[in-house]
Amino acid sequence: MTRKKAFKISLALVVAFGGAALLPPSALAYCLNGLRWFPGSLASENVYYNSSGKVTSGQCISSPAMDAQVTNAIGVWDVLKYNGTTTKKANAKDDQNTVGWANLGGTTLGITNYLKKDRFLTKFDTCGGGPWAELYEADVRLSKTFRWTDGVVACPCAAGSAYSLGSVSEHEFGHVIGLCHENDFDTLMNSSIGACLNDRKGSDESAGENALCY
Amino acid sequence: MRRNILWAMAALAVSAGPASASTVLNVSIEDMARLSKFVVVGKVVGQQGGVHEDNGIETSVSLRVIDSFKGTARAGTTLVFHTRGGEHDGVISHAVGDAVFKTGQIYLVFIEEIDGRLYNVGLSTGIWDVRSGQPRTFVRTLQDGLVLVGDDQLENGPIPYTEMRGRVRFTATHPQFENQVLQTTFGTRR
Repeated sequence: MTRKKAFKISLALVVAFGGAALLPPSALAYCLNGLRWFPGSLASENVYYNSSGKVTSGQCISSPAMDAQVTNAIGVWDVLKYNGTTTKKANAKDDQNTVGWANLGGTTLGITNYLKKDRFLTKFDTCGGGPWAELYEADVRLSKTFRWTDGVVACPCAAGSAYSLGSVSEHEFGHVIGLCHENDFDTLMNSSIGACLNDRKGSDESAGENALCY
Repeated sequence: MRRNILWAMAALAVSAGPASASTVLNVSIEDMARLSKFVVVGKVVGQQGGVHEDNGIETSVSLRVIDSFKGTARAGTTLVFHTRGGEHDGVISHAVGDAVFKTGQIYLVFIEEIDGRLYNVGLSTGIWDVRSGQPRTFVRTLQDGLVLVGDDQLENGPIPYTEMRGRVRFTATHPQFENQVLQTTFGTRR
C-alpha cells in the first residue's frame, strides 16, 4: 500500500468515526458525546450525594424536596444508581461519582467534571461497533447561589423566579451517561434552558440510552 | 499489520472531544462586568494545577496585566485567578465548558471573587481572545459543552477594543444589574 493510499484510508476512518460522534442531533433526535460507561465498571456508575453546603433559605421548595430532586434525577438514567449520601466532595478524584453543592459564582448553575476517562476513542465493542472512550469517574456540582424549585410548586414562587433543580440535575446526569446537546427546545438535553422550565427525560433521551447500550 | 496500524492511527486521531455540560447564565457584557472584581487584558505567563480543599482540582492562572478595564490591578502586575479544573499529580479534572488557556497568549478576562478567591466569570463565557488588526477586537472563546440559561443570543464578538472598554467602564457609573435573575439573586448590584 502506498503512503498516499494509507493516508486516504486513515483520513476516511477519522471522518467516519468523528462523524458518528458528531452527527447532527436533528438527524438522530439525540446526541452522543463519544463517552460511555462500560459493563464491569458498575461501581463507578453509582452516584453519591453530598448535601453539605446546600442553601435552604429563600428557596421555593423545602430542604428534603431539594435533596429528592437531586437524588431522583440520578435514577432516571438506566446506567446510574443513587447509592446514598457521602461526605466526599465533588471534583475530588476518589473513584466515586459525587454530586454536591458549591459556590460557583454569579452566573454558573452547575458544573460537570470528568475526573477519569479515556482520552481517546479507542474501545471497540458490540455497542454500535464503537469506538468509545470509557468513563470511570464524573462529578457534578450544583450552585448554592441561585433559587431552586421542583416543577410542582408555582413558579415564580413567593420568593421569586427559580430554576428546576430536577431538570438541571437530570440534564447534567444525562451528560454524565454520554449524551450531548440536541437543538430542540422541548427536550431535556436542549442546549439552553429558562427559569421555571421543567423539562424531564423523554423519548429522545431514552433513544440515546438505547444507542449507548445501557 | 498495516491495517492494525491504520485502525490505531484513526482511533488515536479521534479525541473524545468536548463532552458533557455545565450550566451558565447568559448575561450581557455589562452585567458580566458588574459581577466582576477585575476586567483585564493580560498575557498568561503561567498555569499551575493544584487542589483546593473545597473545590477540588483547579488551575491557578497567572496573568500579566496589560490593560485594566475594571479593578485595581495595574499594568505590569500579575493577577492570579483560578479555573474549575486542571491537572494535579497526574490526575486530570476536565471542567466541561471552562476556559482553556495557552501560556503566552493574551486574553481579556472577567474575574469574580468567590469566597475570597478569584475565578473567571461563567467558565469560558468570561474569556475573550484579543484579535490583532485595525481595530483590535475581542472574540469570546466559548468552549463546547455549555448549557446557556436564557433566551437572548449570546454576544460573542468581534467587539472593537475601545467599545468593550467603554462598555465595561460604563458599569462603574451604572452598577444596577439588567438581568432579572441577577437582580433577585444579588439585589440591584453586587
